[in-house]
Amino acid sequence: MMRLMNLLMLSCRKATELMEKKNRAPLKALETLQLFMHTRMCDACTQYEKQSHFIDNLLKKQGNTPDNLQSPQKTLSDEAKALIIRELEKM
Amino acid sequence: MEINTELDKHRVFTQWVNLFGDALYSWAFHKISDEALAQDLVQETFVAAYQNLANFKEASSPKTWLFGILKNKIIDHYRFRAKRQSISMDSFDEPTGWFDENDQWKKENRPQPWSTADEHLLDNPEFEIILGHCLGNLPLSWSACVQLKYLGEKETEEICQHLNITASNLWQILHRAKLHLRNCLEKNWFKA
Repeated sequence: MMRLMNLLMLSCRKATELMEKKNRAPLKALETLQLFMHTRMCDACTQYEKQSHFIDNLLKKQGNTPDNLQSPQKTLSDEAKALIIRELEKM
Repeated sequence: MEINTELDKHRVFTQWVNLFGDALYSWAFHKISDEALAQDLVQETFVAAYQNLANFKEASSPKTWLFGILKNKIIDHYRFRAKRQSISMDSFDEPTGWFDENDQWKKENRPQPWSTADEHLLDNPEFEIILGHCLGNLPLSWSACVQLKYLGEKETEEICQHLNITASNLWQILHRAKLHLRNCLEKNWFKA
């Protein structure tokens, strides 16, 4: 029984690693079971998993080219625009 | 839009710089967190567009086309950075150590619930600044891998694989980067 428990027990480090690995490739059956058991029992890793997804979504969204970017939050100065136009005129 | 003469070309590009310059610059700044560099990349984008106008298909919108060019410029930037900077990850990771000797969360590093986490946060300029700051705190080679991955660059795996001996897989690099990002966002935004 102890041996079985040891086999199924993951550390938090390992559990959070597996969450990232899962994003890349399917986990082995044992890994899936281990991760399930761990997150059932560990509040901190449950939070971590949620937050990890949240960060993934943020960065993914930020990575999309914003075709429908509402309003640009930063503006290029008039000098900078003039500089680009001058640069193009040289060509 | 007819572009027959050099004069037409200049007129069109002047219009594009004025119409799309801010949007391109905003996005480049989000991705790079450096004003001067973002400005350079926007300029390079217009120069490349000017030289390759023949590739512009009238079917796509100029804005989409310009964003595509800018995206490649940003990917090139991070690709170069990832290759150049192969510093040791361990020296960065271990002094603060997230986990104790049994590989369980250290008490002070245990993730806390985030009550205000929703995706509209990206529309909040103050949050953008914190996110940029947290990404900026990562070692250059890690943040390059994170950015390349989320820009959808297919060769990310290949580029990032040989950065370090102990973490030879992209997911291991991303795991470490995520631990830092998560903690940084929690300290500076959610629990600030």
